[in-house]
Amino acid sequence: MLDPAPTGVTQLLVNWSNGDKAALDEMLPLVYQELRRIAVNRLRRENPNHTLQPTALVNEAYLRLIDQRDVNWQNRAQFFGLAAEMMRRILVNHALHRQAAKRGGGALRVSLEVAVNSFEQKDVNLVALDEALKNLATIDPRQCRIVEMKFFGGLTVAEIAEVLQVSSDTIERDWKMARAWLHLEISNR
Amino acid sequence: MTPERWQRINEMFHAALVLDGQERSAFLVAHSAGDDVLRAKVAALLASHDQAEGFIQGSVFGDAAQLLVEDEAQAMIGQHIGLYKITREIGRGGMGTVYLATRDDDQYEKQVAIKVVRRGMDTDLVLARFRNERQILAGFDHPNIARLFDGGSTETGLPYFIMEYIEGQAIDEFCDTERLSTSARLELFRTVCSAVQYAHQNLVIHRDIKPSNILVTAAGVPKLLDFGIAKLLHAEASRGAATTAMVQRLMTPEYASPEQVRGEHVTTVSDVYSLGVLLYELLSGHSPYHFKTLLDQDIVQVISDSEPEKPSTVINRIEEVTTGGRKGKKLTPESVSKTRDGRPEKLRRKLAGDLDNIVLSQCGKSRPAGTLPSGNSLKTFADTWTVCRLWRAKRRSPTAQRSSSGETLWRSLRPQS
Repeated sequence: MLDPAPTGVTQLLVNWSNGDKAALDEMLPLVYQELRRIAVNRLRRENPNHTLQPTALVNEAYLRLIDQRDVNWQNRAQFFGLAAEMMRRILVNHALHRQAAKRGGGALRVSLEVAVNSFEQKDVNLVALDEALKNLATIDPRQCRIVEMKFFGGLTVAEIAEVLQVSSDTIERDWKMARAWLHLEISNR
Repeated sequence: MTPERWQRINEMFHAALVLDGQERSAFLVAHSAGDDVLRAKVAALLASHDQAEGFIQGSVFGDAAQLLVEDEAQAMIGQHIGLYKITREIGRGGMGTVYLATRDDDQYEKQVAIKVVRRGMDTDLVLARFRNERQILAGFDHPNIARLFDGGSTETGLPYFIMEYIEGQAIDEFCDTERLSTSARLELFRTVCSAVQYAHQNLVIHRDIKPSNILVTAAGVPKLLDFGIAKLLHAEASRGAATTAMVQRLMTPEYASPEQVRGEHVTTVSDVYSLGVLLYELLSGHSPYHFKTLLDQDIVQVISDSEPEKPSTVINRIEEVTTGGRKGKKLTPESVSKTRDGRPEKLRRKLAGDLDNIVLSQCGKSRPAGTLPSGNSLKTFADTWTVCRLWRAKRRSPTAQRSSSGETLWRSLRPQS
């Protein structure tokens, strides 16, 4: 059974969207806990090879945390953006720790090897990508958000279009440009 | 950059994207109005677009969710499992997380390793299998096999196994750190084989033999970890229903036998194969198989079809270790022989002949078929040992007829299959 959802997140979301930065700091751990709880529960009750559906997971958190009567679509978009950004932070922090651990080296190995994470197989340096995304955000915040939602947040083009309330074509165009720009930026480092 | 300029770059980029090389260049010249910086920028972006195939395609959401879930593992520190208190994490991998745990009272094992299986396994099923195998696994009494004490499930419903805590180094790293000679490596390997043989006589297959599952203590005693655990977690893999992807998740492809990567029936011969790969690496420093990608079909193809180079010649190669604990290490004829027998020529002479044959007969294409009854695999072991022993004796005694030749000796010992 899931514990009752924490209250007050709706108000925090609304305050944040009205420019209250402190509301975001208060909201992040609550959303994090909720996402974690849902991910754990889903993996527990579903079959072992099940992969989590990003949209369903974030949506479940959204529905549990947010009182739908008090919000609008912008708030929902912000919530999805927030979840994607959280995933980005989790992965980048993890990548930074791994880098640090490698430099430290010499750790005693036991029966398990550190799993090769699949994003390493995808050949993306997450730390470099994160830096490049920070630069992109200053030039084109929407393109940055699209990359965040698609790559880190696992949303489809159609879902991103719905969240951002623009056409899928626009998302596709922005995505192509953002990808080319990030790739160039990372190659030039 | 001004918003207007960025807007302009975007427009030109998309307009030129649909054009081919020549047209593209002409378009850029025509529309940049002499602004060479603009033209160069858009051209660079277009080139980048064309090269970016695969770049950030797909999503890493699954990885992030996994990290979210694993965060739960961090919360385990300080918790109690049975009578043990978890003190720190000592390892993490595809199957779960291993913690060091201590017992406060004066009862037997003060320190143990507790493997908590990652979320996603069916706890009831794993524990049911454990109850079936418990007698055998807990009854294992061999100086080179880490003891399995108990199993159960945590408060949050994850299966766990309490095992003997071994402080040591993975066998490949130990051999290199201690600069063990070929003879000393064979001796250590023989001890490992005796432990595997003991388990096979008790009808338990390891299924995941690799350097990180064989720790060598400071006193030089090798200890095999995780005997029987793979089967508890993945009984499907033993019933022939495993997919390659699944086998990959539970095994390191470098050490998996052809039947394992194909998801076929696993027998004691599969362990013998993994031991062969291990011996290949201990003796030469190189891996017998190399994968271009970690795609299923590539792994199956490489392991099923390619024949490894002889250890005595592979040492001439210059390459980098791509997996495992020695990942990133540069291998040269000098570096591998320095941690073994001195000069490359000396190492090459030691490996050529008998040892080449023994190793390739275990992990090359001429290995016994995976369907042999276990008796034969044990015989193969015994043969290996005999050859090793004779080989050692031959080296030790300078009067021995070196020319009486490994080839003949080898033929006479080779299993008739």
